[in-house]
Amino acid sequence: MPSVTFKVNGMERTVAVETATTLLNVIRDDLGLTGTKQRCEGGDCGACTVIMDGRAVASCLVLAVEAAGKDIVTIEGLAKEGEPDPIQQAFIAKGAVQCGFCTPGMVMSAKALLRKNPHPTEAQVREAIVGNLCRCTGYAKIVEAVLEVSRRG
Amino acid sequence: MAEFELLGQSLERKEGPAKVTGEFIFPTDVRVPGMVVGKILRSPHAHALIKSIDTAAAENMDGVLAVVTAQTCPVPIIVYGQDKVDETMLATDKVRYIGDEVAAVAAVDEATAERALAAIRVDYEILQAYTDYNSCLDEASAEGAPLIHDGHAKNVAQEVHILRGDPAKGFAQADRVFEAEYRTSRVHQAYLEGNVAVAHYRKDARLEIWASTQWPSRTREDVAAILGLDISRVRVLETHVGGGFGGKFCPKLALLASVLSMKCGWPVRIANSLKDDFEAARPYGSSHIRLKTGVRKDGVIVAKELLTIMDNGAYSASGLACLGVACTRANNVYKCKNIKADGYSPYTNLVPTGAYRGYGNQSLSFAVEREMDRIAKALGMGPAEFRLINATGPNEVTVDGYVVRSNGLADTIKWTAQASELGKRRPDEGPIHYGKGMSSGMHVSGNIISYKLWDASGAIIRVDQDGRVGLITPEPDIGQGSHTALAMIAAEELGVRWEDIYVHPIDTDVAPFGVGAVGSHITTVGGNAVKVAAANARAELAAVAARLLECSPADIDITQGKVCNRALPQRELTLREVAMRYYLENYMPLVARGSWRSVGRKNPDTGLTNPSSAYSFATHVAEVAVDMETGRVKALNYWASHDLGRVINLAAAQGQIEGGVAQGLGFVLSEEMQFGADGRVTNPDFLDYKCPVATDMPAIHTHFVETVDPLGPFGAKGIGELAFVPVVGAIANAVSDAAGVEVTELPITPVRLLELIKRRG
Repeated sequence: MPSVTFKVNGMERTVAVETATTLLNVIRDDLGLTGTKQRCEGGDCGACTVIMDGRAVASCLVLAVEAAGKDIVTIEGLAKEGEPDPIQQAFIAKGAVQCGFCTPGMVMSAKALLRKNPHPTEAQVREAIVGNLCRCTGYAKIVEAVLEVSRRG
Repeated sequence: MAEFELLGQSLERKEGPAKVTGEFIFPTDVRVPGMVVGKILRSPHAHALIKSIDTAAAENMDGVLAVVTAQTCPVPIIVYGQDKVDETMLATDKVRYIGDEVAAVAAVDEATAERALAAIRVDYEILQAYTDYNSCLDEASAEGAPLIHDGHAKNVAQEVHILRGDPAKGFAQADRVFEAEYRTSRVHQAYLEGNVAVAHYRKDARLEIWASTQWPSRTREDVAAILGLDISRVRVLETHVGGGFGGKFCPKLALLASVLSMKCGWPVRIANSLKDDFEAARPYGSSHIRLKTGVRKDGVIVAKELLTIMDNGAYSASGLACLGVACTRANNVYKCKNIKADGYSPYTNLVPTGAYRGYGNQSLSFAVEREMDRIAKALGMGPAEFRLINATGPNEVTVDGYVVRSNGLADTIKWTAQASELGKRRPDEGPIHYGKGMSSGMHVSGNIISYKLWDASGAIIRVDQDGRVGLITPEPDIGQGSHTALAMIAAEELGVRWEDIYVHPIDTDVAPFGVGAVGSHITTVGGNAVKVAAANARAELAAVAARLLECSPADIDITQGKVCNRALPQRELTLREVAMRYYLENYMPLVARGSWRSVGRKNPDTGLTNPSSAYSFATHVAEVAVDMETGRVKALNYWASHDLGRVINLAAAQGQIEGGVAQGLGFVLSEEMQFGADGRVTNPDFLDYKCPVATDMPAIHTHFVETVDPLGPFGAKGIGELAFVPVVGAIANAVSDAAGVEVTELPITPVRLLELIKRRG
């Protein structure tokens, strides 16, 4: 079995993988980081979204071997020194969390957006999360939460 | 000064921090030591006899820990069902749909489990399959047609025949009669967290199950009954559910994981993939409704006649009860008392149907509310005016025997009509035509169901020696925020600070029974149980405080964690001090109980059953833009006014509506399960089963009417299902209005809409 080394949430990790193992499998099963969710396994729902080298990606579509040497941030890696990220705080404050299953993926997509574009329009926010399905919220308070963070600067 | 300390505010979810950081463990995240992988062998044929099953190769495979078929199951296979008994845990003599469970294996890892499934040899004799639910009613009554289930005269799981008042007399009084046919497709609840169960049959003969279920107490009861175990041997554990919407009542995965664990002794996890959930869970049945409405020229509806056919699928599950609701519920919005309703649930060789938010209400509501707008237009009346003429009001008994107390329907109609400027339509902009549509609805707040013992909820409140309050509720949080709302009710009643109350995850070893997230039950029935428990806890604390403050318990005020004698408020104790005193006097923390039973009952005089303690009402208006050249619909604005009795958590109530609008958009415009002629689901994924995304959503304006129901906790009623039900009619009406066509078939995809536009000329 080949082994793969990458940075996850600031820490270098080495994992033995099969060729067909996805980054999602490694994150959840090998590293025990279950915040990133598994659902469609086809890149359609966004529940598995992580940030890889600065871009929001569907980790179910990334082979573990492709992630070699890359810098990966999962939902668990957002909080800095125990302080939740402003996006995480806004999601709670605005009532953007219902069942919470889409939440990690949504937050990661929002994080990737705000890093590139700190003051997006509403349309740009909606476009950034167009690949993240939510069945509970109708996206309304999720969009409000992201706009709130961008308003606060 | 506000009336309440907490109610009405947008308080943050208790589990918010855990959910936004990824710390929260969903049922699909549960891992227990020694856990092995369970997988299911499913039928590749829609209808076939099982001649033989050979599991020898699978059983002898290295790494395979157990193989179970109906013949080798460690417990007797019994026929069971939620409302009709017609299903077994594993197929016995035949399979009835593509996906039907034939065998289950437990193995050390996924790959081995897959190899084991592939090594099981099943010899099938293929039978003719029925995959079109309409033809089933005709073909099946033909002589010699093979039945899907023995013991039936034809392939019909259920018939409903309802006669209220005197429809013949009513139609005789009508000045005009309107007739139409409406169809909706199979849709999937599309919960983001898949169906899953982890079951461990332990050495002390106790069965522990981690499940993603909308009714943990009921799952426990179902599993115990079906496996032949005393109920106290079964323990169901649940944190929160990652979405349910009516799709997570079925005990199938819990049952199969349990029997595998019985055989191998290890905890077994069975998790459905998205494909499994499309092919073999419990999606919502398609419907075909014929509706005839008689109206007087003054706008009063005098009679109705309807025929509802809802595809039952191969087994009955929770879909069966949807038929009764689809023959009745939506008519109870209006006063008309002369109704003849007939309904049929044909068996088909398709995946069995389950419930979906509304439990059948949305299917009839689509037909009824389309007719309301259509008839209003024909009579030259506004949609709001026509509805107000016919609307039920407070303190009435409706056509199907619903005992309605609080009813804010009229206010919801007036608010949405005004807020949306319903009478005004934006002028066309080239091929873009604008339109508005209205829809009213009503639903139960806790429907009495076929729970063997009773229809109630219990709650336990535990006050620790530091004054912190733990709420032990059996009612699950499936994303609607029930745990936060119940904690708010408890905290409001008890007088504890919001930060000092927490909610225990569900453990049926500790929690009392509850009916679950079904029939919009939790706010009214669950909430009342919590309120009773909180009141009992408060009384015990007040008794202790009264001794400390040398007054009578009736003088005690507990607010925001501070305790005082109302007559001498300067002398204040904290709840912590009182709780510690209780603890020292009793050598244990304070544990208080409460329960509340639904008042729904059968009326012996009328023979009608009042199914709920309270009823919620709502009206919605949608504004859409239709591109007449492409058939594409864009939802622009949405107004929703809800009588929910009393707002508990404002953001959560708004969130329910916003989510309901998204699901309704999908139901009307894009969601459709597609089947091949062989009965296979051809779009079992999120690429081809199109759920609304963030860019599809309109601006949503919500409004609440607080009628303060006499029976609800602090007057509160449910909203979970009614947040979705009226959306279907509102959007369908808006599209019809914009395009100048009559939308009668859902989903109204661009292709179908263009067809209607072309036919219109």
